[in-house]
Amino acid sequence: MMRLIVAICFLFSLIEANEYEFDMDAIETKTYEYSGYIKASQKHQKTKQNKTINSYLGEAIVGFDYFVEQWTLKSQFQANYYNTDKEEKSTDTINQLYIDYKLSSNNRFDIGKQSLMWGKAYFFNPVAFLDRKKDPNNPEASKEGYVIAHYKYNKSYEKDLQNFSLDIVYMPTSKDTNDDFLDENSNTIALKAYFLYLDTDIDIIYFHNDKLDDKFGFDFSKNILTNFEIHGEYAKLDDENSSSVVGIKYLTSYDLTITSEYFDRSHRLKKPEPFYDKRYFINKFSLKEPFGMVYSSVYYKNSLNLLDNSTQNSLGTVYNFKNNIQLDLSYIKNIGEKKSEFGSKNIEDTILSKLIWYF
Amino acid sequence: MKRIIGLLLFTASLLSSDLLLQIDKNLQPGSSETYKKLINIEPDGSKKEFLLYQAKSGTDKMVSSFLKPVSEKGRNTLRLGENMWLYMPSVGRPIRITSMQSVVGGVFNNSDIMRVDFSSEYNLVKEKTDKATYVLELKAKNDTIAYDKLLMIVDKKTTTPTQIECYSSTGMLIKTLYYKNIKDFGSGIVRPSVIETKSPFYKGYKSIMIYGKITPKKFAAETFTIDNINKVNDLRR
Repeated sequence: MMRLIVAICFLFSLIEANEYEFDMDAIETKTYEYSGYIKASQKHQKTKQNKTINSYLGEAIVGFDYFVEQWTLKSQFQANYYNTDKEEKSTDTINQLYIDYKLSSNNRFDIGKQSLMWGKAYFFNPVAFLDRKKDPNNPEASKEGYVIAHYKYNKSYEKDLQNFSLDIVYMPTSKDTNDDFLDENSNTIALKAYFLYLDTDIDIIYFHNDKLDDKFGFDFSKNILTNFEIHGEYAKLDDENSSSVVGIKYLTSYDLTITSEYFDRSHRLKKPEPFYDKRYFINKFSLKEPFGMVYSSVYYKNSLNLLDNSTQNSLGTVYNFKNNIQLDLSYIKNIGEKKSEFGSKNIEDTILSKLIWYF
Repeated sequence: MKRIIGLLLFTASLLSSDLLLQIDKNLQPGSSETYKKLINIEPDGSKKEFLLYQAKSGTDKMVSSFLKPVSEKGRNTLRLGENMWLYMPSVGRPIRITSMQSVVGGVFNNSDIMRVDFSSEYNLVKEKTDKATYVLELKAKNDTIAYDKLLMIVDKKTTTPTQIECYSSTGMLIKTLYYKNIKDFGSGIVRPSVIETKSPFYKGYKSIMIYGKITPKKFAAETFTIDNINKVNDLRR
């Protein structure tokens, strides 16, 4: 009997030891790294004429980085396939391809194609003068950068001013380079000064192009409570036009994250560009682990055009499986009067399923 | 008489803060890098594992990078005192987050994963002692700290915690951390290598944090800035 108890205790200690095992091989470093995902999406849409449209979309993204001492090569490639109502299209893009050189802990220089991602807001970034326009419906979709030369100075302090950094960016344009920014020969210089002052992120941005108007931008972000963040951006685009956004992010005690942004621009954009109007109010409610289901979340997003009171509504759920697969299911409905922005859309509602495999 | 009592209380508070500093020092050197594994265990026994690299400097500066699983790879966090930012490759820029949020899901929240020194966040308000342990009551220095009160049981022999109960400002028990398996990590670092967490909010769930490697290492102050939040992995080379 005693032997049996000892054997059981031994077995349990083995099980526990295995549970606490740490694989040291897993932390070894390599001179290169790669990562990416493959995404398959299906859209089932109903038009106002009661027609059904089925679309299938495929997206693959591969990132590859190579490290040699102070030098890093960074790259990201993207391929897309679209089948919209049996009409096929495919694209491939170099999102990023640049070399970064670390001169010291305070100075870095990089050159090549990259996205800078300036700004503090989630759905709109008026101060992102050197980034491609963000789609508020899919803010993470815009990954392609521009060809630039970029110097950064970065310094930390143990005072009220905890960190200061300065970005100096040069971007040329021509018929072959950055032509989707400006399709003619031009030179852009942009400066961004960042301050972490009294626990507040502050950016001051200046943009100069020899063929375009100068632009000036300002943004900030601060946690005013442990679960309450405020942010804002203001961009002076020329003598007459400006745009701004103010927003909050609030986390409740039951893990509901509320992200709200009010966006205002002095002018309308050309239709039919999405979010072309002057004023919007976007609210997203995301509840983590509903009903105790770990690795899952449910969300509701409402985009309101404040001038015509039309809305776009998304209700969805995300589940992260243990094998690096994510499933995102959502229902999207446009509501509004016939001539309003969202009410005038021919698509009445959409059922969107996305399956993403990370590698 | 009042002066003597005051002097005694002052001396006691100094000794107490010394004890908290000693616990911090024993758990992790002032400037160091750490590899740790997080395992979330669900009621049916299924597991999800995360591998983390962390660099720490001083009492309140830390950066973290997820190395595994691949779906979380490159997800980096920066903590500078009470400021916390998260960088996700899909977003491409740092966003401010709160210490109560959970980056990975499960019982551990950001504050548990990005744990800085206890002495930088808490004051020791009560201390009891018996033959083998100290029982410490710690009160958060301000309301931005994730847990308002900690009840810490400390092993006298190693001056490291064996158990910590974490309470909200309303006195509600949020979770209990169990420190286990004392291990010698080299460079004079001898500390529990396993932290198990249970929470009344996650019945049947258990989270385990396993320390694989702790190495003293100095970092440039600029390592802990949002400009370098996407370069945490470079520190490993």
